[in-house]
Amino acid sequence: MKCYKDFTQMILDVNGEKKKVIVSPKDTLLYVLREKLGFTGAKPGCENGDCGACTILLDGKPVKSCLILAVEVEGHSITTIEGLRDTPIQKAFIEESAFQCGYCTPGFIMNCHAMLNTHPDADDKIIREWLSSNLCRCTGYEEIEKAVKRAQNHINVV
Amino acid sequence: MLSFDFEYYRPDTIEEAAEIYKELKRMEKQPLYFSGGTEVVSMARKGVLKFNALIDLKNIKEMRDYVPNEEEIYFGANMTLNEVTEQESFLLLSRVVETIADHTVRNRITLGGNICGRLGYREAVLPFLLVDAEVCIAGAEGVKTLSMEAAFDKRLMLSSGEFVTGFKVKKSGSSLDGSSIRKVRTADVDYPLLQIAAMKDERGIKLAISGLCPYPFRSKALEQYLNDVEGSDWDIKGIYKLLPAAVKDDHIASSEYRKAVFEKSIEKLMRKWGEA
Repeated sequence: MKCYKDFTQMILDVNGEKKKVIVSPKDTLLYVLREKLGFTGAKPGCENGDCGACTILLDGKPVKSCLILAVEVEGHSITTIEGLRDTPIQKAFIEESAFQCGYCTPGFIMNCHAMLNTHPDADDKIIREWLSSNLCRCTGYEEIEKAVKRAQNHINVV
Repeated sequence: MLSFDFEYYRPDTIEEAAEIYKELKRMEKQPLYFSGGTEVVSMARKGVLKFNALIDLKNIKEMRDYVPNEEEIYFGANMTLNEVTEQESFLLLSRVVETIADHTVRNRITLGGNICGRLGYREAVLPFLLVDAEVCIAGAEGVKTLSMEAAFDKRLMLSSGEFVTGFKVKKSGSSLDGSSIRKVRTADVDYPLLQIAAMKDERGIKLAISGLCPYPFRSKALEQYLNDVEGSDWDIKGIYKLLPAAVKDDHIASSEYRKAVFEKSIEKLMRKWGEA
């Protein structure tokens, strides 16, 4: 049985690299990623699991890092927006101008990336279901949906 | 970051979990079982939930299992709602849980967490209430299996130190035709004004309801009333005296609004099944 009573050094697997970090049980994963490891791509928004700005991948699945304690994810694979490079969805976001202020963008991209890995041919119903997890207050949903479809074309061409 | 300190324990077995709970209580601590953690973390951040030790149940293998066999289906309490949605052996359960919260959060919310949660919705319990399911409950004395009907009254009746390890349903019940009706105020992702899980078998319509009253329930009196009326010759207002509590009236919706939504939904169900 694992037991952490205070600050503890642990190793987290972030973007394929082992990162040594000292965490307290009360630290959320979002806090540790941003404040202790410097991965500021995941954004604090509502910090209540509603907005999706803090979305990262945990073992390949999108999760909201504000609702997870860092001590829970020891031994699991974490991917942040910094771990994605030139993916079809990143290119498509640029090509479709699928952002305005950009604050929600990393969360949307992480979620879209996971969805396209799981459902490369996602139909409108699946796209809407997955993307309802993220909020964009600049209301750029139409462009984001277009970006997803463009990324699907990129993937299917490759 | 949460604003108060606590200890974190991650047991590997049911016995370890029950034992550490008992030990922490003996030390006069406030332990809390924890799995997906979405409700615990958000409530702790708001200061409405206090504890000084968390016991994380995620590593317990039996609680992650999904075992369908010829006779019955076992759902581990730690299955996430998305994992439950992916199974096809109890479709009504899938249909009900696929609308709880949003897709990303459903990668964390667990079946046991939703049913044992502090929020009064606990939608995932509704299909279990319809099929004479059983619930497996662990504690210091080991694991016991109870009928859901006996164990659930407004909430799962757990004693101090007990936690749910899984749920069992008979295959015959889980394969019945079912219907899930969820009504929310505006956005797709919201708490339900009304969630109905309904089934029909040779004895008639069965339904369990969340969102309408302060807690989820199955009312056999209501079922009997609906099954006894013929065609459209029935008074929908008459069903309110058969509810176990008053219709909720809160910041999400007035009781009148909820009643209107409820009446439309019951009419829809009766059109589908009532005259068959």
